[in-house]
Amino acid sequence: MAAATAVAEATVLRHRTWRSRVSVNNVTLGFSLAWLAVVVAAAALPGVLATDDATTLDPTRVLTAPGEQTLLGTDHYGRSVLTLLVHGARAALVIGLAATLLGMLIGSLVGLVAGYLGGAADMLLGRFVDILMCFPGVLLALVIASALGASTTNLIIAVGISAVPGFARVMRGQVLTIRGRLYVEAARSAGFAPGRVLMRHILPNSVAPTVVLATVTVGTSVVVAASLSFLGLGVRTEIPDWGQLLAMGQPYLAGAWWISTFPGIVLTLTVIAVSLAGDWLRDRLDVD
Amino acid sequence: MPARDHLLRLDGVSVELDNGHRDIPLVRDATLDVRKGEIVCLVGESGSGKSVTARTVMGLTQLDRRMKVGGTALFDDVDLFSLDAERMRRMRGRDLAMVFQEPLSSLDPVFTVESQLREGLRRRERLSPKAETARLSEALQEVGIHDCERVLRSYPHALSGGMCQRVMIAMALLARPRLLLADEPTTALDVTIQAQILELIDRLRHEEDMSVLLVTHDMGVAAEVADRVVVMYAGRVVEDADPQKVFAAPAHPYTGGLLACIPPMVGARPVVLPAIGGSVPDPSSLPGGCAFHPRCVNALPRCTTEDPPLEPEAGGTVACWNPLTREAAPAPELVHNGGSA
Amino acid sequence: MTAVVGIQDAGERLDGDPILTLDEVSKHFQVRTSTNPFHPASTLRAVDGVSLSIERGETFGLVGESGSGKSTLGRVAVRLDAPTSGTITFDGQSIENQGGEQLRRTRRQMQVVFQDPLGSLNPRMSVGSIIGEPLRVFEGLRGSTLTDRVAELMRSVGLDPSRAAARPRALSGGQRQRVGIARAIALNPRLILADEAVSALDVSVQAQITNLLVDLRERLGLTYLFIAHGLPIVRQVAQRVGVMYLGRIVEVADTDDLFANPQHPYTRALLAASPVPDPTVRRERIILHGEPPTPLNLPSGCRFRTRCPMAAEVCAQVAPPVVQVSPTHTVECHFAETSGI
Repeated sequence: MAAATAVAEATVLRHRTWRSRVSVNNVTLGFSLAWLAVVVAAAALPGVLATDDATTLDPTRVLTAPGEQTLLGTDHYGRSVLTLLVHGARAALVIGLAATLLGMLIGSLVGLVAGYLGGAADMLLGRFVDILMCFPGVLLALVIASALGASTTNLIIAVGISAVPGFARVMRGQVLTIRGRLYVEAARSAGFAPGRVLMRHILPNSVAPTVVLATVTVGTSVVVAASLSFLGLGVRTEIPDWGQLLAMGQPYLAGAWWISTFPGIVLTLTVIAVSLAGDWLRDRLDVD
Repeated sequence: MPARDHLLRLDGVSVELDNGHRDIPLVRDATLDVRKGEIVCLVGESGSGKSVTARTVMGLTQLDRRMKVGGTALFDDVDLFSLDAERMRRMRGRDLAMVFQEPLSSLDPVFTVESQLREGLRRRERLSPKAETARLSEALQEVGIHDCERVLRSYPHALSGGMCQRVMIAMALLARPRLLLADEPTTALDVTIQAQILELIDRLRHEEDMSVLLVTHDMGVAAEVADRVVVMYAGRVVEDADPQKVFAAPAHPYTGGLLACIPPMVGARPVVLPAIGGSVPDPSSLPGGCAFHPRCVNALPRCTTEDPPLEPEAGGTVACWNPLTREAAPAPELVHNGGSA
Repeated sequence: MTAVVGIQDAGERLDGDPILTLDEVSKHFQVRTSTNPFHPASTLRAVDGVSLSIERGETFGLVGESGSGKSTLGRVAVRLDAPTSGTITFDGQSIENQGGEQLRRTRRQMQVVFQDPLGSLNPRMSVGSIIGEPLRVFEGLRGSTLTDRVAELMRSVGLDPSRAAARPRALSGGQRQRVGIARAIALNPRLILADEAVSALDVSVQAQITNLLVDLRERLGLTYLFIAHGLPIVRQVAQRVGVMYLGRIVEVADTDDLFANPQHPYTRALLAASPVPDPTVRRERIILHGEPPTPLNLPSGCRFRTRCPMAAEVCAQVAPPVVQVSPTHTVECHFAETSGI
């Protein structure tokens, strides 16, 4: 009796916490989406948000503090940190999105095949994913990036592969669940070919968690890419990306804290915003 | 009617769910009595509010803050709805007990039957460990479990559904409750096991002088054990009478329809089953007037606008403007209802 | 496709034209009962040597309790699962070893209506595309030909074609099952496996769907393998009934014969335990004691002997013979002839 009552109470409690989570999200979601809009705008149209040129060096305003001449201060070449951040957004987003897409495609395919075929294929692919998972994502990306050498494409590949295990696991788990659903059984019993059952009935019902994971992965990919850049494995261009900016500011941290601090804040805000948006998406897509 | 004392008296009970936009009525003005030592069967289909009613008596509905409960539930002259959470919790452990439909999910999978039973017992009384064990074995014997030692040591998943339901009933009875609320206790079980459990509930009610409010969708189950049958539809009590009357001469067209659409077990088989057309309405979009009128073969124009009150009719009570027990209304007045879903 | 007249009298049975024949069909599963990897897997005999023949145009009812293997037998019969041994002949063709494209072609002739109407419909597809999918894929219908055919199918199962764009979630339980039925008949199959097709529905809706199934059988010349645990509904729709217990069909007879003159003690207990909505019928209850043994460890001799009120010594030693009570009535019991009527 006590147990049954407890179960009923727990069910009720779960509903209650779910409700409160939604009402908090409504407020923070607005901020998250607004921030993401700013980042996307910066990546798309950097010239509109930052009026001065990011490549012009200005010896007259080297290492000025925030507010003196520019809003967020200047670096040791006299470039505005704000301008650099705005221009660096594109690199961050391109790498984040492309790496996520790559990881999602490879990972989902691996998960789909493993989950659908089961048996030996599942075992083999599962072990492969397990091996990848042994390494922390950043380390894996680090190894791949240093093996391939520094270029945008290689950075995308490195970060993308580090995201593969997550997608593979999520997709495999989802396919395993959906494969057992009655409507899949119904489709099989109707005599449809396996390909059709997979593409029409299993896949569409399995993608929701992957979509949610993808939003979160965009955030982490931006961080991983920034970390690699920070360590000098990124692409050397005239305009530093966020990771390089962080690294660049490091020697000046004692005197000119703003060079590293603002990229750090921007990076953090972006990741938080993306994962909150992912939370919201999860509720909207009704993923268990 | 025998002048037996009332144990539970629900008066105008309503339950509404606030879904964030508006209040959805799950139970509307439910009124019913359970007398001492009586089995009252609360019969209805999905969405009739029968389970919600039982859970509300138990104080479980109220745990969800989105639920608004109105009316009174007098249990021995104490209004259950006015009790604070702590006193209600004590009532639940002692005077009220509940058995649910899914016996397996009602037991905690990570504890043995013994530890769950012990926990229930300790909430009621403090005994020495030895006396406790004796009480537990006795309780299991009572519900027809003979290999007590094995069952006590088992985890719920190792037991069959019927066995789990017996354990649930044993757990409910440990508290020696005065009212047992049983929510579809046999629906998940096979008929031969169902027969055993119904027999058990009937026997225990005599031995323990316990009252039972048994929620079921099965008219057959009600006919087997009920001392009184209360039929609910769309959150309302539509008929309340003795089984002899309900099954022989139902007053509400819904009760009549429910009985008619059960295929007979003896005699000629009808070529077409007399089905009730349409489907059970969703509580969020109830038809105006009498909620049953769109499916009713006896509907009058009045039924589409006014919800009939629950009034005495031919030995029971019924909420209907044109009950089956009355002279049929002149044909032109009837509202014609189609029979498709 | 043969047109078949309405059959509600036992006399009109169609003889000698079986559409589906099962001969000594078994389905065994290997189950790990221990977490110890060196412990050998046990054999679960879900279906154990069942022979059965279903005539063209009839409804064969299969009843039994949970664990009796009735669903497994159904799945094997329509080759959703492969049998462990035995032969299955469908329409003169041996199908027990079919696989791949050949099997998929056979399956189009044998459709399934599932118990859970919501679960069996893809939540991301509209009602129209669910019903139309087999027509698109196998008959290559497109555009207005497809929509017309879907509308026709929807009308024939009592659905409003204007609901074709709705998602399954927006429909009532009865309507969802109508969608499941429309999908099943879309390709003009010969045989339909109805696996507890009405069990999950509200009582008032059960009758509608039952009537629809009977009506479709007559209109389309379908044959049903109708699996259910509720006896009244089986009595209503089936011409012949098989009673399953622990993997074997213990009794087969014409419906009226089986219900009026049950021979197997299990059938009798099942009939006695089935509740009837009539409180004046306080019949002699044959309460079966205990629970069915696990199919992992079957009793020796007769599998029902552990719960049988008539069990004798011979039952533990020898498996009962198949006794022909009449040309259409067989039973597996040592006491079939002497057990009286």
